[in-house]
Amino acid sequence: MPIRLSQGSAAHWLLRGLGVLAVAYVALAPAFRELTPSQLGELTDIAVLALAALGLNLLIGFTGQISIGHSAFFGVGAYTLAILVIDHGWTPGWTYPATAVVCFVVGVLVGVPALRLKGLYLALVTLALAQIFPALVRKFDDFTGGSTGIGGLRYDAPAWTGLEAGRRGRAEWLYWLALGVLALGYLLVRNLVKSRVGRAMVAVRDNSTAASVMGVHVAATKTIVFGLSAALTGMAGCTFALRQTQATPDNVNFTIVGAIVFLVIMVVGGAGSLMGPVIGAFVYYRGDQFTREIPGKSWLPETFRDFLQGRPNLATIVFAALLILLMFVAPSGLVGLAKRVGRRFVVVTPAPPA
Amino acid sequence: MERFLQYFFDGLSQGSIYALLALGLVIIYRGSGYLNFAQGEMAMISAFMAWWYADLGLSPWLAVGVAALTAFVLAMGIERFIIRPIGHRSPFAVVVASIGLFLGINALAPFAWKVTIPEAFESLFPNEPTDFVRIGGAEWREQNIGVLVVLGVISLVLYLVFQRTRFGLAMRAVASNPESSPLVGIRTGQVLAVSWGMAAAVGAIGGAMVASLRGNVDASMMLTIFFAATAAATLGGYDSLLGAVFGGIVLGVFENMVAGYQPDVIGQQLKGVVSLVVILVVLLIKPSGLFGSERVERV
Repeated sequence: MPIRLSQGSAAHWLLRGLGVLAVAYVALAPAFRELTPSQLGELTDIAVLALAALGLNLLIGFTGQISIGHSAFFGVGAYTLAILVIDHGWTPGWTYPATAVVCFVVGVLVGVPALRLKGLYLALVTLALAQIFPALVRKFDDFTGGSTGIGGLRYDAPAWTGLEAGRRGRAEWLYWLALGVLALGYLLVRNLVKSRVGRAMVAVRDNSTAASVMGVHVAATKTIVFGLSAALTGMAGCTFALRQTQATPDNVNFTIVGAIVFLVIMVVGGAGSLMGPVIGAFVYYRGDQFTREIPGKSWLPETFRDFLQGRPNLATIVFAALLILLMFVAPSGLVGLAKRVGRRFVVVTPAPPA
Repeated sequence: MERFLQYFFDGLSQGSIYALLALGLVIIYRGSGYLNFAQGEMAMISAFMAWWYADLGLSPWLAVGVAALTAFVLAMGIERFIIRPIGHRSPFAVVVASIGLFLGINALAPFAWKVTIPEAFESLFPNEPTDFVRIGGAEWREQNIGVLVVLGVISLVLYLVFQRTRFGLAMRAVASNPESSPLVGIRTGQVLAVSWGMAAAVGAIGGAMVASLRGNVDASMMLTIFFAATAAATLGGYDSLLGAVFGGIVLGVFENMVAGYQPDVIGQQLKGVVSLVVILVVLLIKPSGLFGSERVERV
């Protein structure tokens, strides 16, 4: 028999508080634990992936527009930062708002023709976008540096942060930056989704005809969400470029693979859930890390280790199989699964209207 | 004129490959309304199977046939045990599952055969430097003619299956009205499974053609081709077999002409842009494609 909690009761707030504490404990770890630069780098990567998936979730999860091309926006973000910093001498921090604007415009430009497309066709066009982005980067080489890309990106921690100047300080500063942008993005998405605009988005997702009859401006909603989604993913690209210290067209995250990874993270976490992308990014990154190390593990039986000798891609295969399995068990992702399981133990009932 | 013919001939064989892949996409789309993102990768792993069978001692063409048969059976299994059960839950989950298949199969080929570099694939057609027909000064290589002939044979077989057999009639019935066809005694599930099988078998032959033209098999060999095939299917119309063949050929020739005549602006690098422009223009002007049927939507 599940425990029943009334919404807004002290016990309910306690439960919520515990959840926030758990997230804060993981996210704020560098503040009270001594982490190596490479550990900080891993956390930064997770925050970057989470932000990229957060942008995608706004588009797919809440507005029902499929995109398999967000790697292009991620790449536009990375290149905007790289060009502004190297060619125009900007401070990296100030390129974030500029990138958001650039990616918003690019997103709207893609979103306008996308208005006439639905479902699979939209998936196709965005797929095409992901496909040509690296080719375009190579083509316009006097602008983007072609195949060599743009290197030498470095962001030393500003003096006011009190962080040391070396590699460690840079890694820590980059993590706080990534976390800060992620938190801002999360708040933006959360407030948007819970507002009038958010209800319009969900209405467009569930039944665009009905939404339009109810007075929702479907075209404007879709286009603006496309722009916002691109802006969020683009800012993730900024941090990514800083973390890589360069932007090159060969980087997998700027290709179709990146677009698929963002989509997968969003789905694993839970499409249309607020925390989904963050949880998805964490699980994806750590899971990928774990399976990559499997072939060298000593607990593996000897014969199995011999079998794996010289065979690449084990991590991807395991991951793809788990992804398909997840579609059987919980199409709504880990958050959906947790909610379903959680309901067996705790049920939150809405408070009676005052 | 000589240059024109040369680009035309090269475009024809490239287009035939797009057409073979697009045929698979269309066969699956007609049956179930799904876009199979794994179509290209299924063709890729089939080409690996053909290479492996030939390595085990089968003659090259027999190896391709057995690989197509294997692909047929495996794809039926994929439809029955993965796509169909997930489809009952949500169409979006099918998109994700087929992307999962795309990732998994792409990673599986190098894993299964322990290959990290392209492996040599024996050409299925005469492929000496002198094996070409000279027409109007241009060289039409015999292997390019061969690929076109294979497309012709496959199209003819598909036409006969769809128009002249009871099973083809059932497939057309499911395509035109999935709700009513079970009422007249058609086993929809069986039809869908066989559609996937046929699509995979056609794709396997397409994959073998690609391997034969490149002279090797490699895990990444179908990535750009799959993408062009989606453009070809869009151009022809997603529910038209004739459209897939026509769209593939037209796209192949057009792409080659553009890249050939504009080597500086487009060239080999930006060939993909041609596909994107084709997709966008078709979808904005005539979303059902050249040969597709208009879908009437009810609110």
